[in-house]
Amino acid sequence: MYVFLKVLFILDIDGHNFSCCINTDGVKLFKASKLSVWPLFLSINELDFKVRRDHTILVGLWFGSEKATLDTFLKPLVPQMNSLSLTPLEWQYQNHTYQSNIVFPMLAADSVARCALQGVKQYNGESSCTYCVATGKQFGVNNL
Amino acid sequence: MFIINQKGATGLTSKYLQDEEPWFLGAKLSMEESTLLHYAAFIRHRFSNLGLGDVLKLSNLHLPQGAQTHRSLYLLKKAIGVYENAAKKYYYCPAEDCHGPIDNATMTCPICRTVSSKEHLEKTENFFYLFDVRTSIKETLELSEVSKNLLYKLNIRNRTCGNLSTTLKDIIDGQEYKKLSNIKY
Repeated sequence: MYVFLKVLFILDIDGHNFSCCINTDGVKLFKASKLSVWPLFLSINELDFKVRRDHTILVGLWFGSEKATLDTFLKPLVPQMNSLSLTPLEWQYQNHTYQSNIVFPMLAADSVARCALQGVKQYNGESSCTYCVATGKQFGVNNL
Repeated sequence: MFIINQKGATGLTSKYLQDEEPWFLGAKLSMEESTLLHYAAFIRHRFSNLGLGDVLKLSNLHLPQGAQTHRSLYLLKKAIGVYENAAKKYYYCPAEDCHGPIDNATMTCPICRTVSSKEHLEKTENFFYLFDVRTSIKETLELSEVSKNLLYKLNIRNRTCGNLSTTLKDIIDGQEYKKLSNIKY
């Protein structure tokens, strides 16, 4: 939390500006189906937990029989997000118009999606640790 | 009962997700859930429009007096609020180990130079949808529940700005956060 607040401080988020968290993960579309869907969600960090969960925004849906290629998926979104951080979004509440710049300082993902997003080897592969250079050791099911 | 057809970038509204009244006395699901399940079956089994019409008629025959499902694909889509124009469709390269973005004008992958057709990419499901982020956030912010809460929280943040140690207002404990996410609200 402290790190998050520091990020907001560095990004100079004040006034009506706020931040969003991006989230994505693979979902099997149907039981026994090869096809999977990767939804891409946004949630507004500054909202209360319940409101944040109730109003998660769907911004993208990837369809395919393999894992999403996130380079391709996210490419058209990056200019949109850059634009939101530079050009304020106008919105209204009770006849007042507010202007907000929106930044996207974080992305929440599980290990599988994280590796794909970072463009590194999958978390269970050789030399896949993102913190150190240890190659790791393989343990087959029979060797445990 | 069925107020879900409000135009939105995503086509779904929070009202839709919250409305869980049973369809009729003794029903296991709501009308909204039934509509979505019919639509899911339509996509999953690739029914023709005629096929879906027959399934809807069949479902209607099993319903008690007074309860009726939608009669056609058009009415079904209208009820769900599927606005295909709200999202932009992007195609990607079907070649293994490539999956680069396809140029819509030439239908060619700029990375591996594979040429495809829209029909083929539709069939092999090599595409993704993106909604306009600015419009989606704006629509969410214009819901009074969201804007009221956001303004309240921004007020608190701005008042305590500059003193980071006093602004720990959210949950910072992972275990407590997990407990909260298990509560059905």
